[in-house]
Amino acid sequence: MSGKRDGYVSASELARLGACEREIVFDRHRGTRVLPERGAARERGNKAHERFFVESQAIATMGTTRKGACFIATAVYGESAEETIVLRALRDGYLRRSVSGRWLIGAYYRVSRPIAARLEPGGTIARGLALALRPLVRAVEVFMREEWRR
Amino acid sequence: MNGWDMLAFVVVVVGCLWLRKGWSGLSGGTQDQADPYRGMPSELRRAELAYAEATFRSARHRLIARVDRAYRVGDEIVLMELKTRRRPAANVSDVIELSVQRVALAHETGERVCVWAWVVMQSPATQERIAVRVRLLDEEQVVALKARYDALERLPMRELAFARHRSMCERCGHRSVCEEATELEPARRSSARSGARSPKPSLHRHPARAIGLDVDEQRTKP
Repeated sequence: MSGKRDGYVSASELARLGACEREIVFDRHRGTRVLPERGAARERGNKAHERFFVESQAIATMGTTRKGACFIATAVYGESAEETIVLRALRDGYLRRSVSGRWLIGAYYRVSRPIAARLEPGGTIARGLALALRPLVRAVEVFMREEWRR
Repeated sequence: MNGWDMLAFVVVVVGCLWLRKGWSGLSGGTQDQADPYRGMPSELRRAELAYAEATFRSARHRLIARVDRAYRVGDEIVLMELKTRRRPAANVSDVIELSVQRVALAHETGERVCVWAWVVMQSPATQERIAVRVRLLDEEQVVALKARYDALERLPMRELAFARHRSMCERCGHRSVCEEATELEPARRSSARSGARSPKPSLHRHPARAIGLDVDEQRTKP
């Protein structure tokens, strides 16, 4: 049945009930018929959404700067380093979404605060950690790019 | 022309001018296109953006929803949906879409989702935005709509609701077939035989109204 993905009905498909039920049934029987005017409106909507998403990323970055620091990353890479921003994105854009993720954040903060306090910014241990964490940060970056686009 | 006529004339002219203002009148003047916060409600300007373009599923109700934005305000999630519109008004479809998002996000994450959400409307001509707050449906109402959606296939044509506005029919690719099907409905055939005027499709015979749904909106202050 059209409008269903893996047996799931999407929010936008169900929202069509608020417009015209007959169109839903005709679409199922005759296939979707999009007039040029509506196609153009859809195209405009898609472009507006792309822009809105870019703005969302900007807002998220500004927002995470205001929020609590990612202790070890901040001590190792610096407050505004790209690596720190990537790890914050993992925290706010993925881990916060689930109960277990939020528990993990809490546990990490309890453990990382005393470790970060002992790290001397720019010191040997901090530089060694920066190198060791880099592959992990890259993996997180790739994962988060996929996640944003999921 | 007496004094009352003159007053009525002035009221009509002012009303027409106000309507012509459209977007610029509602959005509070020119907006900076580079400002990602333009047209945003003040209560969300400092809020944490929790999700953007994220997909959520409710396995219980077999619903899937893509969220444009969701903010964390206190211990609740507040949803936001972007729409490009010529007329800056939220409608029933927006409420349904956001309500499904609410159910799906709550089921997948276990987070509490606010019953009020924001529809941000963007003018296709000027890119100006205004935000309108709408009250969402509860889970039972969403489930009722899902049941209605699943049943559409089995319902006779006369039971299916028409478009809420005739302008929607003008933009519909099935218009001619729909009009033909409407004329073939038994009630319309019998009225045609008896010479009575064929009743026009009722714009108010809508399932959304049957479950007491209408847009309950509150505009942002410009």
